[in-house]
Amino acid sequence: MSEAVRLSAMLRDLVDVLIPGEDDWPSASLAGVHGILGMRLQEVMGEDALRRVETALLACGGPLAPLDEDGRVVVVTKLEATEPNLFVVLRTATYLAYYESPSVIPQIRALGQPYDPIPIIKGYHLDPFDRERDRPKHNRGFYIPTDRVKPIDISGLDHLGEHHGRA
Amino acid sequence: MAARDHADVLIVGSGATGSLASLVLAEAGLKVICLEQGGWVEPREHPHYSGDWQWQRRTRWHSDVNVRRNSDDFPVNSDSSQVLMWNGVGGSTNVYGALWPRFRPSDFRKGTEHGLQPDWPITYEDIGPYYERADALIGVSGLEGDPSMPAHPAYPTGPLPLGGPARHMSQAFDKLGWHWWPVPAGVISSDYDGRPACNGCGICTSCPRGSMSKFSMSVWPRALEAGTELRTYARVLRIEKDRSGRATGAIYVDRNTGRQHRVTADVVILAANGVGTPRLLLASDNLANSSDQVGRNLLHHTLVACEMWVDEPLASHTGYVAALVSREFAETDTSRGFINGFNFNCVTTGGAGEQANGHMSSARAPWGKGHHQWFQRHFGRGFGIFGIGDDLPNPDNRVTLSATQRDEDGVPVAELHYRPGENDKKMMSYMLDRLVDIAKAADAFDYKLQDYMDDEGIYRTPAWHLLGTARMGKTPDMSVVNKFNQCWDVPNLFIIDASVFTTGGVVNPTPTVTALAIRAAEHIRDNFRDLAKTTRPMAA
Repeated sequence: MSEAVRLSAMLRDLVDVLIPGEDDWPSASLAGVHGILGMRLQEVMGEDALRRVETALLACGGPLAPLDEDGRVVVVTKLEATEPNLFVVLRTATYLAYYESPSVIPQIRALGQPYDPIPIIKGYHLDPFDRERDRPKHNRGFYIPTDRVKPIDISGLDHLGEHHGRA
Repeated sequence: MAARDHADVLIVGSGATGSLASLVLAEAGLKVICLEQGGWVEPREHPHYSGDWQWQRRTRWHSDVNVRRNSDDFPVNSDSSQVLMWNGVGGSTNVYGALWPRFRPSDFRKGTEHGLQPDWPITYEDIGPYYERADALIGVSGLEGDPSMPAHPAYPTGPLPLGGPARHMSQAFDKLGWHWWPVPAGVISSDYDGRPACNGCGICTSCPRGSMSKFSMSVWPRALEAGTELRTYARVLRIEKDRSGRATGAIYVDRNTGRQHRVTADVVILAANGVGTPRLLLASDNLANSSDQVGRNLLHHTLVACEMWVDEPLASHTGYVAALVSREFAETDTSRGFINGFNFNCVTTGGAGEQANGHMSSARAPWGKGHHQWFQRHFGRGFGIFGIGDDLPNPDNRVTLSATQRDEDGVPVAELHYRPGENDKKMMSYMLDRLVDIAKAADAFDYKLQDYMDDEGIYRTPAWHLLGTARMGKTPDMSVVNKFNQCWDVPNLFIIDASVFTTGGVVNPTPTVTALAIRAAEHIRDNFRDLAKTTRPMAA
């Protein structure tokens, strides 16, 4: 197996452990996340990023390919515990790539709320502020005018003696 | 060294304050040169128009200079805070959120109130008219009549829409009997000054449409039209002064050519933010620092947060990022166990990926089985609340120069140290308890507190607010500038960024620092003839 095939399979298997397919949600690899993940790892970790991930997975019992679903979870759980900083990068990049994927957007919308992957272009509709309907009715709140700011008694606040710093 | 050139006024830094000073002084007919170490950030360069905008916000568009590592930035070593800023035309308005609440009268009077912070040498009434001038320039949106603030004229544009999170949170505050109000924003709710109204896209990392006041789009066009000469990629290495004690100008490197230049000026203004300004003063042979206050008393605000989710679908990724402000706890009440107050800033969530990753806290969708169930339960139903309070000054919280590291131009690297004091910690603990109250009042089915403490107990606040490091005061022994932002030691040197803040208040600082900048610029304009020649030190 070439290095290219091996590393590509590693990313594919890893993202599917992080975000498996379920019901109408595609797996991460089905949405193409592994390709994006590879680029992002290289962006933040440098040229050797994928080999570093591979080494870390091997140290945790990988590779993932020959393992069943439960075995893969064991390896990734160990990776999360032993390489927390690396794992945060992997998880963050995977999650973002998944929900940015155009093919996943319809399923986000299927939840019943508006969602635009690049919302600045059209914006979202929100009802304009209605002064009759939306103005607070509570009449709560106060401030102390300049000429009414008076010294307060802080003698009961013992902590102020040592660590407050000088004025 | 290239040929010598001269300005009436030299401004270092082209962010919010530098742009406003440029506008005021150039409109008065003065020759203004503004030096900016970064470049223009064109609208299309922002992440908003890319499908990967959420990834970009966490990488090359991250607000933390030590994450994004942009070549326009200067190095800052921090042993605690995340250092949030942007270096380029418009400064940090390229990435900010433009909340626009004002200080309150008591924020200027903490010396009178309890004596553990100094009074400002000015009052709310002194700065009030300048808030309004800034509001008009920016096109601030908001609702007049907040009983928790002094009365002032209506904002130039009306309130932004109340989205789902705002409506839900307002009900929670009503249930608790606490104050809330639509937050004033540097975001226009209707077309204004040639810029389009906010379209509610929700990506409020500044705004390449110009709906949020990105100062390179709102103020700089006017300042340039008025005649300001803006030099980009011009990194200032030091401020120079003569034997009489006057500032004579600056040495800067043209980052495009690598050549050094000297520009002289009758008046020099520093607008380089709460880290950049003290760094430059300290690197300029300890300029304006007879008080030993330059770099000290760094303030960030106390900051904690809570992310919470409710059953009701709120489309919480839509609309302007800041929904409400609550000033219920803004004044000191010693029965709480600490002095000073705090506000709650209520905010929306990010995009779908950001929501799955944990937008403001460590609450995120689990990986593996259960991922999709979590997302379906939480998506669009979350919102966040920041508690933001007035931290006490500590001279050991400071910006200093590295003894060993220099940047590529030979200037010592800035080092930043910040630890919250006991009063600050008590306030943050109290704020976290009140955030739980809000989560319960909101009937949240899930919530997660964020205290910004790392595993080693170090407070790593996302420090947008870089305040206090060249503070304003009544006397030269404990402050760096006087009530007109004029250095006590150097009569023609002014500091107009947020390093002059005497106290931090309980709100985002941009409205106050822009008002102060306009006020200082008008003072310079009105007294330029004297300032251009005086050698009289302000210090006694």
